[in-house]
Amino acid sequence: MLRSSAKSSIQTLSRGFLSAEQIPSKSGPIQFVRGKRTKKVSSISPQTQKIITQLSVLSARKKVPRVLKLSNEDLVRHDAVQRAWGVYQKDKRIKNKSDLAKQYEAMNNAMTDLKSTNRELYDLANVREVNKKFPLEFRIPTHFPPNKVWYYDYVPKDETKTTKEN
Amino acid sequence: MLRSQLLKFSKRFMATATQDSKKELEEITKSWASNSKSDSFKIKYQQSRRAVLNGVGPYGPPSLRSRRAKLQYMSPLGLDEAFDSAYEILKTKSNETYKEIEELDTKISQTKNVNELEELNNLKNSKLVQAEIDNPEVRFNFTYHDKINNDSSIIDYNEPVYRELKKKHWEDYSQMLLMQRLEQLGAIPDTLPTLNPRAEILVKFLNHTTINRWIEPGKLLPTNATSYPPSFKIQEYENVDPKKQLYTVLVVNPDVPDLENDSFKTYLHWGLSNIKLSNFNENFIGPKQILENKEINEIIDYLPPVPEKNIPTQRFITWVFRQPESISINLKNRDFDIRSFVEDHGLDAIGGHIWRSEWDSSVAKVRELYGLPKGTVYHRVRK
Amino acid sequence: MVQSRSITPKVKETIPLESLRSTLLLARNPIVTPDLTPFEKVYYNYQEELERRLMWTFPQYYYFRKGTLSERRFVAAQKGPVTKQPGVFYEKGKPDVVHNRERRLKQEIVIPRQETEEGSSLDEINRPVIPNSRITKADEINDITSLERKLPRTLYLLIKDSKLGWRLPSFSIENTSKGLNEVAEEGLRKLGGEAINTWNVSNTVTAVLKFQNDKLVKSDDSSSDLTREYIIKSHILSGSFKPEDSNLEFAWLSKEELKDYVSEDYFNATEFLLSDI
Repeated sequence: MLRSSAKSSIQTLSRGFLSAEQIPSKSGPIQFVRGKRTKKVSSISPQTQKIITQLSVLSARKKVPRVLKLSNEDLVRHDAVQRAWGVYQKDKRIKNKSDLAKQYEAMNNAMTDLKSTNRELYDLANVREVNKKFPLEFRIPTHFPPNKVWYYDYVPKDETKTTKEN
Repeated sequence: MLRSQLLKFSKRFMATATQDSKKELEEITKSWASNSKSDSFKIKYQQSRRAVLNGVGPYGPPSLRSRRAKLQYMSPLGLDEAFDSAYEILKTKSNETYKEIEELDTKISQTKNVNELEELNNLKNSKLVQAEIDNPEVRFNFTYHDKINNDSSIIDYNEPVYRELKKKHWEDYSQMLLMQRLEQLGAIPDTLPTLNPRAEILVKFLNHTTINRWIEPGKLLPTNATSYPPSFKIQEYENVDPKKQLYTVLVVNPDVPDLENDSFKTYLHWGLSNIKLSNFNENFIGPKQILENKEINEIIDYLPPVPEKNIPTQRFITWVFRQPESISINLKNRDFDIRSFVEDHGLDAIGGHIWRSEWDSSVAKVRELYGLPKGTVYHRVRK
Repeated sequence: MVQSRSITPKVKETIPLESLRSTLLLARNPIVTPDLTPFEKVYYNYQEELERRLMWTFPQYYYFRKGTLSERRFVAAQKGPVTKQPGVFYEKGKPDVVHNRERRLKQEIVIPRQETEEGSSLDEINRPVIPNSRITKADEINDITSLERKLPRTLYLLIKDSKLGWRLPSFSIENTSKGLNEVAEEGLRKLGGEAINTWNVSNTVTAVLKFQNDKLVKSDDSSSDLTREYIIKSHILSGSFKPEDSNLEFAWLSKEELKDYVSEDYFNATEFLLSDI
């Protein structure tokens, strides 16, 4: 049984073993003590120990790093970065909104124009398409492209054929 | 063993100290918007300027004093690159704002309508604020230097940005504190009905050895501290012309006992009118300014707080007004109706302050100093 | 289910049908997430570093139990912080190490990777993930007619007209029995073959372009001899545009590229319809 000297500054932590280099020569050769119990007999049942470990994982104890302290200069720089981000996001948002507004206005103008130009086409354009949904083939962008980037072999469905009945 | 280690370490220390001065530090290549003119928009101390614009160098931030703290400091990772991009974005925005200001200038030179002119001037002011408020150097200057006794080369209140930053700082705490004290001590309904604070008023008693600092509103001051007239600092936050605007300052005490009516009356303890502030930085009105400026009219001379024993604590409320025109009144009677005075002269209350006084052992001395009659109690009475 | 047409008397149209055209704005949606701008990259990196610095220490004792083989491998793979030893001078200050983590810095965890044996097949479940490149062959050659180019951007179909230059494909209207969207879709298939799978967004017109003598005029212009183009929006889902006529020049272009190909007036009139992503 190895006895590690409690007063030395060896960091045992969760390392399963102590290598020879880690023990400073100051403490002298490793002492083997016969008969002494080194493994702690825990009075806590393993189930309780399990719960304790789980709780310790969830708790902040010994896991929280030091408070991040910025110098005055760095704080000013951090604030500048945050402000710039706010400015950037604001510009983006304003542009999006203005584009949407322009799109709506353009739609409105176009339909008004069509109404005065050709009433029949306007009526056809105004038909409410009931149960219109996004198509199933609409692809959500991914971080990286698929192996087959684009499907070229599309064959349009022949509408004259009758549906198969089972 | 420890001592030898320390010796080694101190030698290394000395070595690095000499090396520092020989090593060249990075040049500052960044600059703010091209139309940004004032010197107060730059950081004066070059080490700080370099730290803010280029990043904290290998010798640590200049704001940390000890050598040990400087060496131990570590900047957060990724900040340097993020700041470089951020600075460019903010700089571009500022340049755009300055262009808008140029266009506004041409518009202002063309308009003749007074109302429109005022609107355009206000808009120009807000644009001037907008152009510099994101400047990291301006923010550094404001946050880490004395705001009240300001060095105008660092914080220049003539610039709209610094006024705006100071206003926000004031609204954050001091303004709320003032209004709380005025309301809780009853200064507000008892003298004037209410106050819409637009300027920050600071009061100081210069002559006293222990209380030579800006007084917190509502503070109970000893009589010897208030034995000589106070000094004021009027910090305007609105867009007024400091060269033309006149101010009136009245020190009013609503707690003077009126024995005939078994009530209290108001006394005017001090009044000054036709005060002119040269600019937004030089806004201190002390004995020197009153002596030098012949235009300042003293409505009534200063009567120090000399409370009688056993009367309730007296409140001394300083009211500061904007005058529309010159006031050259000299009153003899201290009995004062502040509301009628304000109405008669069309005064606009922009700020106030309050301190309190009680009878203490110095009252007798102050009465003697001013040749006032002795109070009903002028020494400690043994029961 | 078609709603009944509005009951209005047929007024004699003074505007001839020949002056009306249906234009198709055919879009290929992005296949890949948008590229980050330089500022976004740098900002997100900074925020991630801050988060790592402020993150709780990894509870190694829970995930790699003491005495197990995986724990031994894990510990062997870690570098570990500099610990506090008596009598040592630390220039950056004495280390504050708890649970094998220096509390003043972010924790750097190295996940032990098993070395793959040589000759492991490509179908093995433990093979390393190598993502496909976001830049395709078409990007490298800069093939404008390809649909696989510029995966993070929206591409729009442009056709080079012999007289008018590069513009969106527009089609003449024969009769008023079909809506503008149907005219556009059928016209597209006549030009580019049947093997195109599109989804028409709506029968509603998105914008109108007015031309007088082949020059773009303002949208509120109402003179008599105007040619009107009504823009209809659609998305291409699969298939491709293959014109029979080999002389027909076409291109799939993003918003910025469209600006270089199309006239300035035309771009200004349609710019807000095009996506920045």
